[in-house]
Amino acid sequence: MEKLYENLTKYEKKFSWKRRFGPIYRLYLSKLISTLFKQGKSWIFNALILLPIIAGPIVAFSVNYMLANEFYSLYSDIMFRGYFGIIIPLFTMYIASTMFNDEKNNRSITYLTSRPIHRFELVIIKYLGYLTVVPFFIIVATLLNYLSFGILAGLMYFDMALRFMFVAFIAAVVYGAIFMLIGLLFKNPLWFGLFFVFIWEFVFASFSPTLRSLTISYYIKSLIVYPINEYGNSESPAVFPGNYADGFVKLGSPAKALTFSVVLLVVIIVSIVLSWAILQGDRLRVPYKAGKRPGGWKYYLKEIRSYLITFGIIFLTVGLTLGPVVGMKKAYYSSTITNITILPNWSWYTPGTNTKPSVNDMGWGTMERFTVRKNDSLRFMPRYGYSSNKESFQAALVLCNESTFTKFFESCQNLWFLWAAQQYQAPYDSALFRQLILNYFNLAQEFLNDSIAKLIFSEVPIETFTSYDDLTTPSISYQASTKTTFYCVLLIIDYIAVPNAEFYGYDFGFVVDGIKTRIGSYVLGFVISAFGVGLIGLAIYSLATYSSKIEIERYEKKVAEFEEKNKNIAN
Amino acid sequence: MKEYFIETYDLNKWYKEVMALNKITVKIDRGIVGLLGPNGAGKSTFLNIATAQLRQSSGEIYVEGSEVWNNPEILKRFGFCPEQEILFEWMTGRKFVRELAQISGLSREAANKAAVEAIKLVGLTEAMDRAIKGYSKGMRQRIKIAQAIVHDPEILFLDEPLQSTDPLVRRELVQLIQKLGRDFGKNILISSHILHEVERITNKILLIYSGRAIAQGSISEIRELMDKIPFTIRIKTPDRKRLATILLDYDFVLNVAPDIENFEYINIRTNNSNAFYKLIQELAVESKVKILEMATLDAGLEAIFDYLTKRK
Repeated sequence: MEKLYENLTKYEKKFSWKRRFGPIYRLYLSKLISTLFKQGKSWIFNALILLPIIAGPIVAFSVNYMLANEFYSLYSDIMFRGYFGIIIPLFTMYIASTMFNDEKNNRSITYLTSRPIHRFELVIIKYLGYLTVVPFFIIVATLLNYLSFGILAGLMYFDMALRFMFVAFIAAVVYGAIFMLIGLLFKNPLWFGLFFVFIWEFVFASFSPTLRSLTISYYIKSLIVYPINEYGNSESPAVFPGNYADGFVKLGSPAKALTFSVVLLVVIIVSIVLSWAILQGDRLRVPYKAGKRPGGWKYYLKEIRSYLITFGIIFLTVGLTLGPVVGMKKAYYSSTITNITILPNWSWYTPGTNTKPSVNDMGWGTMERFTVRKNDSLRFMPRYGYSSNKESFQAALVLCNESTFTKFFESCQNLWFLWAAQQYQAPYDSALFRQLILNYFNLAQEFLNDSIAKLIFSEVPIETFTSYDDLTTPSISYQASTKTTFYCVLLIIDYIAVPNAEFYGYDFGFVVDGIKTRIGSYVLGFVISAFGVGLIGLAIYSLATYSSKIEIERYEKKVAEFEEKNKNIAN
Repeated sequence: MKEYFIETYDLNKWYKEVMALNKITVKIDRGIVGLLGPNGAGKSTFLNIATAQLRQSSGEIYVEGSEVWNNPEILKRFGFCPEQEILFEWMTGRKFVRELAQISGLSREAANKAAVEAIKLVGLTEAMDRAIKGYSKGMRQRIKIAQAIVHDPEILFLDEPLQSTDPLVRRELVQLIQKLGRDFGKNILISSHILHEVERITNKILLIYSGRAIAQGSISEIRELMDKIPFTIRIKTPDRKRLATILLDYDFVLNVAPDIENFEYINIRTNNSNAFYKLIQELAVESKVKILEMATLDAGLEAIFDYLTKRK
């Protein structure tokens, strides 16, 4: 026996992360594979993820005939709602939340944590083990699901299946991190997991867009419908006219897609760091008398290091989003579309009633009201326009204040009433109508003179507009010196009356460059990200400077204290 | 400054409202030390805190002068045989020990050899290529010990290592632990609720009872200590005066007084409960003293006493 043990003492020991990584990784890999394939319970979930396989044949055999794109639209619906909405979260919940949970509950994790391992490594390696198996398992399952649909319909739309496989991979990666954390947080994570999947991810998401943007599936599904073309339609192969994916909020720009990816990445990082914090037993405590403790602030920083990193990352991301992303988006845009239609009669109007026509009813223009803050600059421009009678008119964009507009508007109403009362159905080219128009032109000219700024144009269609940020587009620019409410009016100021109904359609846009909003979000973003950087900096500082020397000093102090106390008692 | 094996200062551990450890301040010398106490006394909690599996609610613990929590440096020198029966069920015994040895710093080849040798040491060679799932309790116990010693640690923590092993294996394990302590100079903390088991391995014990460190030292010292502690025993009897006069003749009876609350009872203080109980039996039979009721007022201490003396 003694000899046998002597053999054990001869082996050389070397401690490096490389030596630790292999065995832990192999251990978890074998565990995951045995959980996935050798546990009877797991097959319930394995069957769940392969559930769409039976959906294909059922659909195919239950109807007499179906168009291929209808069939694949249904496939897309099943995948988009059921697969990404419920099945993948449920499956990953089962696998990922048991990763630490059963080890913690039956305490077999002790065999690892009583060895020289940083607990952070345990979290990372475990997650890597998960990444090696589960996402690929899900990809294969997704492919099988497609094949079950595709074999009956001639294996079309393979690009859609590729898209689903890619997004399923991302979903497995993100949900894995979240459920690993949930598994560590709760003794029985299944209940919280079910709440999260069904209530939070599924039910809440259908209540409001704001709630939806707080779910993970929103970001994942957005990647399915990305990208969007210039007409605002999705170019994703999974989107068919009128299916669920088509009705889903679409991602606008690559920048937004990038932001969404960053959100998912931050979710993963935060989940991992918090898992580390929980596994390590770090306690977020009030730094009460932290400076006076042996070891001082450094000890306190060491204690909360993982939280420093977590909150640092969150603050940094929020700050960067608020600053550059919100702040750099110079302005907020608004556009309004209006049709100006001039007709010889107004069928809606009944003479003798006191119903006054609104701005758009009178057929001469349209108005939008805008309140801007001090120092905000405002740009106001025509975007698109069309006319049934080319080059027969002149129009103007007018910026004015309330009193000018009210005066003009009321005069127009009176004029219009007068005309309507005298000859309700006056011919388009009658003398009376011409007089009315002439009077209106005079009023309009007067209005233009009273306005703050104006832009007159006569080209239709207007093709000068490229983008809101393009400063060469003819526009009205104005910087407000105080908080003001502006009236932005698009107005016909001259046209040749012809015996046919004419219409002019306009689409015009505003750009309000909210300087305060921009500065505010920049400053706030800067402060928040600086705070985040500070927190991460503290964590790095504590990593770099904290040493066990402090612990030893602390220990010696404690011993001295204890002996002093004993001496006093003895005396 | 003398370096102890384990030092604790006001070590407390609560599980919500249950206090598992209550202000434990001890200094344990190097060598093999038995951690003794009945079930639920806090032995496992103490071991788990000493091996950084649990974190104390307050107070300090140092093993060989180092803090243990969140300190992988000290874990390099540890071997721990925990209490829990569930291992990594899907692995074979050999693989289990091998991977753990490798985590503790051995190279792959060395770990492979060491695992086989460690398993041989605990006498499990025949079953080492079977999945742990199919192991019996005793086999699990042995594989746990194998993983604790495979990397030749300087410090060993063994939580009930002899539990559910058959006498033959037990004898071998006892020899092994003794050898490790005496010939290889390991520091070993071994917990048990059975005194004679520990007695065979070591003479030094730390006694824990309901979260408190009651006594520390060699077993004979503790026995003596227990004898010196006076007990109060309450007796209900109609012959109070007669009993009192008889009892006061004996030198191990320190004091006899009527109970303040109820005069039907008398309280007797003694420093030798064994002799006292013997005497009472004799009195009841020979002198026909009627004893209606008898109870001890120091229930906890009696339990320990009971525990230390009668379980032999």
